[in-house]
Amino acid sequence: MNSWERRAAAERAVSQLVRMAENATNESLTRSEAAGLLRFEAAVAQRKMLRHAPSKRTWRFRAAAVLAAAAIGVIALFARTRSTGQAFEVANGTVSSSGYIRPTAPQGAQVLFTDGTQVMLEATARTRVAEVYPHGARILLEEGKAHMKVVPLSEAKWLVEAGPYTIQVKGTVLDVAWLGQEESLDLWLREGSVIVTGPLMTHGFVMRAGQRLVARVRENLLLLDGQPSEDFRVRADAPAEAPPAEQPETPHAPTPVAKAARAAEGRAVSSSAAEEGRAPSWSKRLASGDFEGILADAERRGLDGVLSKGGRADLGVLADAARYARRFDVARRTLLAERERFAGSVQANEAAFFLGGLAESDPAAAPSALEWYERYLAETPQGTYASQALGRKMMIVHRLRGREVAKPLALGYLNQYPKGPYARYARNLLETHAVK
Amino acid sequence: MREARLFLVQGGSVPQEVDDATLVHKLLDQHPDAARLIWQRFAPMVHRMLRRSFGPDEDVEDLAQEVFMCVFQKASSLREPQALKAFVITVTAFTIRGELRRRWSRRWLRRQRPTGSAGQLVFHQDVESREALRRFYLILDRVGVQDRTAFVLRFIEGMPLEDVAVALDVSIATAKRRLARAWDRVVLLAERDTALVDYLSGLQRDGACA
Repeated sequence: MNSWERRAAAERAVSQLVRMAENATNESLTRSEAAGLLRFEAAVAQRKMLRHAPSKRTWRFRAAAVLAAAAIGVIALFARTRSTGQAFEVANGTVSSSGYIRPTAPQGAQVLFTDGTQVMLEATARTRVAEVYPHGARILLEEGKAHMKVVPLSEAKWLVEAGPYTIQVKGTVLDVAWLGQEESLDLWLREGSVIVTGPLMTHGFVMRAGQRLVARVRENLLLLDGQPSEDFRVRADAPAEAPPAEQPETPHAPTPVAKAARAAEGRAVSSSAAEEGRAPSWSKRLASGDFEGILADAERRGLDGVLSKGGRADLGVLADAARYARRFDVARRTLLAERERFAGSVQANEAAFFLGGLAESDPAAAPSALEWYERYLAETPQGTYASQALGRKMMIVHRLRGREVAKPLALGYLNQYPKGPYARYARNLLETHAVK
Repeated sequence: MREARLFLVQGGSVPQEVDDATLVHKLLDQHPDAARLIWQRFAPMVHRMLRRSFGPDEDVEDLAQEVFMCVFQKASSLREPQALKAFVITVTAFTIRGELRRRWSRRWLRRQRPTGSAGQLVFHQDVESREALRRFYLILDRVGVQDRTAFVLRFIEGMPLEDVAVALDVSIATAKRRLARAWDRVVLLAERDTALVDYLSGLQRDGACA
């Protein structure tokens, strides 16, 4: 090929490349690009505020005038909107028509609802009021921390969605934080009660005042501390009211550990137990957060004996208590015992999933975790934790065997659970070269 | 207290179709809907221009913000409200040039050759097409800022020569010169990339690009 031919070939190549570049882009915006409108609106609002900042000399008068006008406005608006149902206002922040709230002040934003409910958002919080009900709202906490004071009303319906978790709120005061990157929920209930549903809490978890719940999706961990509650349900198949089969009749002389645990129990359980003249069941103690007490009780009775002779409900509660108290050795033994003794039951199948989670806590045991998740999926492909098991399996395969091997799993996951907790990871796996 | 703002939300207002002149007046009056309207009208075009300038895989979100903020701030300097679209294109072109200069400076300071982006979006299913496009943008990285901008606007974006001249704030003759220079440079660099030319010749033979 002479130089003229080379030049002609290069010109043709450039023409082709230009066409390819033209076709490679279209006018449709990606999700994050479309979300840029909110950033732009926030930036414009910020700029307006700066431009209209009052001078030092007149700030007092202007502030007083603004406050007076705002007070009149708020009263007028509340008077107008009270009859038409729920509405909300945002102070120290901007809000889009779709309800996306962006705090603009360092101290955060305040969302005020017409029924008196208040939501205080940290400056970095990303929140959306997704739906407004006649007496309540659905609030999406996409990232960051929020403090809520919900006015108790009998017909109220308040939902807070933080990541994969839904918190059903009645009248209460709570602090909630969702860290998307860590997939971690932190909920501190100061007053009232809430019901939390989500991964590891599919059947609802009732929290009482003073309790703090930490849920880490990636690690399959639920941690509860603080004061006890009466309605603690984690596992649907664990009968809450049934006393443990191997429970001693009158364990009135607890060991020091049990004493210590008992001392940490709340009034509700202690008083009811005293009234009934017997110790509360393990289920109740689990509900009250007395994880150490259950473990101490099991050890006092002999762990081997409990594992070999205890009832199915007992083992379920013991496994949960050991996981929550981070006694992973006991949890592992208990779950294995469940698998062995009650093979084929839902509980035994779910034990495989929890064993996977325990194995994941040890980085060297990743292959073992993979095996457990595969076993769970093989035994119960439509089980309660199938979505999580598949998601975790996809992540482990990606980590151990690389992106190409994990791609079919990502496709399978998206087909089955397009809105599942690992959908974003799956999409990243399919769309990019490097999954963060 | 000075940052305290109050809003009442009772269902979002649906943006109405407004002409450019009305939109400019809204901008000048700082109407609450102005930011949203201008974004909704021009965001697809601005993002497309930015992606075509820097490559389809580039994250252009921040640059788009820069463009719109600039449009918002400089709207008062717009003499003919009907020329809003041309104004947005000009601001985008200037933003592209500014960003290209920044990137050139960074590369120069670090003494690095352009390496292309890691890639976040998939537009081409086959790896080869993607690689060809990546190499094309590497070639563009080696063309001068002014010439590259002219090249992208005229050939990839398909703008008429007159509009390219307006967007670059130069005469038509200057725009022509820049385009000719840019084309020659791109062809020369492509000619040196024999793998690229061979690949594209193969495609042409197979009719894949038809």
